[in-house]
Amino acid sequence: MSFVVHDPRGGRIATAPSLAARPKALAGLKLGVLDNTKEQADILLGRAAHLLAQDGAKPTFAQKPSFSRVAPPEVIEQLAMCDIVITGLGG
Amino acid sequence: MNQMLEFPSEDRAYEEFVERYSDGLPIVLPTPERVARMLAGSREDPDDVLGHVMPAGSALTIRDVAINAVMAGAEPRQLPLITAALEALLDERFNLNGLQSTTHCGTPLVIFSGPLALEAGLSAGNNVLGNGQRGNLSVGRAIRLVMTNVGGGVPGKTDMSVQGTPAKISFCVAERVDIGVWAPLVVRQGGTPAETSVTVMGADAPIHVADHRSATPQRLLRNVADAMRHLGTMSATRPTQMALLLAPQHARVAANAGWHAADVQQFLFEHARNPLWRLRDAGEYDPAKTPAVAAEFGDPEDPDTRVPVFASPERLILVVTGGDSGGFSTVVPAWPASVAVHRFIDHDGSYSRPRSQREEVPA
Repeated sequence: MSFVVHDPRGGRIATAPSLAARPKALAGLKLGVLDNTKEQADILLGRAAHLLAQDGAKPTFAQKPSFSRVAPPEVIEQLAMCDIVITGLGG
Repeated sequence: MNQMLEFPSEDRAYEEFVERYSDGLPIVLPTPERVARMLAGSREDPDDVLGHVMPAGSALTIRDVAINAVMAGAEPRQLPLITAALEALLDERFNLNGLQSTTHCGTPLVIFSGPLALEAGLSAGNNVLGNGQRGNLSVGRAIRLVMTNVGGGVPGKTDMSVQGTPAKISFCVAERVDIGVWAPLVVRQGGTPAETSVTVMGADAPIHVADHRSATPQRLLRNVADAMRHLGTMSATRPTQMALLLAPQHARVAANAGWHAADVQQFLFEHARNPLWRLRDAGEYDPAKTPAVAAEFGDPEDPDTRVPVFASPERLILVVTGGDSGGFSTVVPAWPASVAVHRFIDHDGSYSRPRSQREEVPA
């Protein structure tokens, strides 16, 4: 005897997004750095980009107009041109 | 079409639901019979898609709303109110994605104005924001359960709030319509007295204002303005909207002096301000952002330029609510990356307006 109830999770998206393959080396790769403009995010990400550049990555920087909103399409397009992207939360 | 979940027993189903699909409190299991009874409260097609709830992006149907409403303990007659509130939350301007994932304690404040709310069992009297208000609590809770179960706003995973607030469980009020001081919010928003409006605002934690002595609106509202100016709120540096849940006693102080709702809004817009020097002293002055905000209200180079905590008089959402036993009002500052929006509901719980016409200017 089983007990049946409705699933409360709505129409779930069938496939969860998967992570991209991790690069084995950074030499020559275009590195996108997304600053969410929250306090200190630029300091943290700038340092990370500096360290990754020492391993051969070529950083390009992008900013969100607001840390509370999704990045606008032009920022996404800019980052889509990169081989790898890093971001992080300031605060 | 949503899935059915099968368990070996009712007890197992209950344990799993409380563990995985609850706000931490016991829930009512959404059996097919209960969900069917809940859906009888709506005139809309159960498969009608209201939108996609971020950050998960899952589709939300009327049936999904009903399932979560059952779990929250809501009644079928409240389903149209819950649905309208969710439709407003899904308005792009509201930025539910941001509110769901913020590190702030922000949560939607849901305000109903109009006859349907009280008829559907919501309350506007004593302890309106507290315990014992089944309608308010279960309607607000249903909205929160949709946000977590359908929207995927899970604490510690996508909901990154550092401390949260008790208001995240449920934050829903109805307006007192029997005071007779001013036109109800629904009419001030452009609706008719027969309609009911729901207004949703990305909200900070509420701030209580006790004042039993003020006999003039000026003195009373200066005290309210003092609460609004609180530097810990993000409204201090990013003026958008704000809500004032005014006690009947306080509303009468203003109305007895001949003040209308617009006069209260204007007075508070002028007085609920922080000079730039105060923001600077508190470390709230951001050289990259504050000057542009200040320039809208004065000289950004002048330390005495006063920055309001909401952007214009109209953006103070003013409702009268609560009991008659004293002078206690509540200020609700904004989570400022969101625009408050409202929707209208017909008296029979349906919508006579096409969806596009229910799109309203920001509250």
